[in-house]
Amino acid sequence: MSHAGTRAERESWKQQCEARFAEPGFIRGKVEPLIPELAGNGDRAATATFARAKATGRMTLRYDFEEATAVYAKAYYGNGLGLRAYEWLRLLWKDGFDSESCFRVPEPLGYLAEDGMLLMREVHGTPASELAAEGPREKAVEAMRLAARWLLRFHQSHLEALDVEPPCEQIEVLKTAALLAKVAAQFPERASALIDMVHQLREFAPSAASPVGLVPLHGQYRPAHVLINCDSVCVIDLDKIRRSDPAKDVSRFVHVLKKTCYEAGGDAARADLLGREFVDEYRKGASANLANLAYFDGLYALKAFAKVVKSGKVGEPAREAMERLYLDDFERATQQPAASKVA
Amino acid sequence: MQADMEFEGDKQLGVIPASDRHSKDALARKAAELTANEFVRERILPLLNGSVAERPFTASVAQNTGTGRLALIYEFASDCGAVAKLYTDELGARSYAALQALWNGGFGPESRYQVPEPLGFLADHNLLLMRRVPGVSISAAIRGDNSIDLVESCREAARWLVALHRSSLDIGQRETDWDSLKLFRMSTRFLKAAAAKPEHLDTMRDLLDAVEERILNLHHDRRLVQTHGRYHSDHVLISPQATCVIDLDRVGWSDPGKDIAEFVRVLRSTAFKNGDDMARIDQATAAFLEEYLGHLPEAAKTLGCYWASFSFHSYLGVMKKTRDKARRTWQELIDFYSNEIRCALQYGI
Repeated sequence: MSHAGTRAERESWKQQCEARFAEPGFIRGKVEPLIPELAGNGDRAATATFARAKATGRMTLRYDFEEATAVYAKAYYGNGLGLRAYEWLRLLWKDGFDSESCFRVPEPLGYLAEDGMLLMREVHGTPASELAAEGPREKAVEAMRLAARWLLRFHQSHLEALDVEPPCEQIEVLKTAALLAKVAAQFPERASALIDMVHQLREFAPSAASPVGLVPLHGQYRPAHVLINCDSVCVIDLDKIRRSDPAKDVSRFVHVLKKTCYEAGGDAARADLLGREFVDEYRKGASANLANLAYFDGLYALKAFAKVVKSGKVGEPAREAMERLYLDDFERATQQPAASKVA
Repeated sequence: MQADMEFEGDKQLGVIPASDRHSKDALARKAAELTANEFVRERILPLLNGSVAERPFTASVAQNTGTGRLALIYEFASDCGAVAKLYTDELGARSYAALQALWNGGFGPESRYQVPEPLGFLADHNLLLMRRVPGVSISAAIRGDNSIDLVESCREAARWLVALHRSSLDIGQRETDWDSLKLFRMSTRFLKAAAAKPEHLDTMRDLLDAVEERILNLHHDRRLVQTHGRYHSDHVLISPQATCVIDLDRVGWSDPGKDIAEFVRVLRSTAFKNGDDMARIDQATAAFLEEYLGHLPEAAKTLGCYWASFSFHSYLGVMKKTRDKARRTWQELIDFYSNEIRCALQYGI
């Protein structure tokens, strides 16, 4: 998806926000009133830390208050994205993803319209990405199962008014074509292999007769966004939700899990096992949702493969090893007979 | 009855094996079998009405391009004769069923807007037999056949298409947007073009961005209609009595913009490549669009998207090549398709 505004406009917005959002007057006058336990409770020392501020038109910051809760804020550049994210978060919170449930989203505290800023209460927990990467395997497996159960519950939630992801965006064919074309231009000798992969992938593309119903899609469902605290799970970064094919969230989660492992030179067999645990747990709850899983598994493997080919950052032996891993993932996804994509 | 048998793949005697599907020689051998005297008398004549049964006939190959399809013509004295299409996949049985549904569903002898009369389907050979259709194709008019008027013929083609798109028929499969827009094929062409002409990548990317913006605006639950699937000037035959459209192998439920855009793209592209007078073709295009959109104006919403996508497809096809075509240089073709994309994007949302 393209970003709103030009890069220069977003950069200018970012600089203004960085100055404004850290001002004590802004925190006292705008942020504190939205935190019930702080509102009208006198002056407190507060600090603002920018957690993420790239020129993408979004920034994340954290406000810490003396002897009180911490709050996360997300600011958005233009196009009403922040307000929509706030509304969906509120609906999910009301729909049972609140602090009483095992499956949660961050508590929405308010939305500052003129600043395009969404405020949420801090969430406690260990990212599933950390549990997946190290520590006891049983604990990692349990984290994967919890992440799958949260996703199942989310996919069953009733957010009927959500926008539908445009059909051709759902399958990401054009975005992928643009990436592959760049690689082909840079390495023409790799073009025919990439073309073969696109042909194979096409066999698994969702058909019009696909039995899959559209569900609320998280859109960025990855282990780092899943925070585990004992037996409760809280998932963050819900600002890209739309109605779409549920297999996308499932596939992306597993893909990022493996990719993180490959890039860190971690235990690929462990990542593979954890990915299977996640999918199996999800399948127990909604196997029909996975009819197009092979397509998305193949798609993400192909994209990752192309990015590795294109990347000049990685040394030759490491790059070849990574290419092999993604090729294996691609082959695994597209080896199944096309009919088996219907779960 | 043989005509009711379903295609069961290579298990059937007489069906071309999968390995030979694209072999021109294998198809030529099959053609010899299907045009032999004995075969015509035993299998073809019984499917025609009795009037030609005792007359002399000739059988010939009309098309064998090595694409897995073979077209044959059976001619009888003082009769239009019959056309047979040999298939090497499951499409034969489906096409026969589609043709029957259309013939009986408003595109038969009572109508000005027709399809060929389906005569039978020989499942053991995967062969579809249709009555031959009189008339001159619009392509012939583009090439200079003056027996029909090109502009008026294009209006007539629009009216045939309106009749199909308005019909309540439900034939064939529902197409996804990525199938109707041929996006996977577009992707592989883009790769080939980028590999062949990396110095043009940014220009190609800009065009793709413009097309993509339209594609992403397509509404997921917009109205689809009964479409032809290969609607172009070669397939529209004009005669004083009727307008008949052939090649209904790809009928299905899809966006109406697909048929309209395909017709316009092929009409304009064929003429430009031939070095024809484009002012005449502009007139024919305008007549076709005016006639169609006068009846079904809502189709304009997606027409631009389909027309631009198909033109981009052709643009990539030229881009990946290095040589000039017979009457146009590589640069002329690139400029033509770039302009077509810009022109197409003026339509719709």
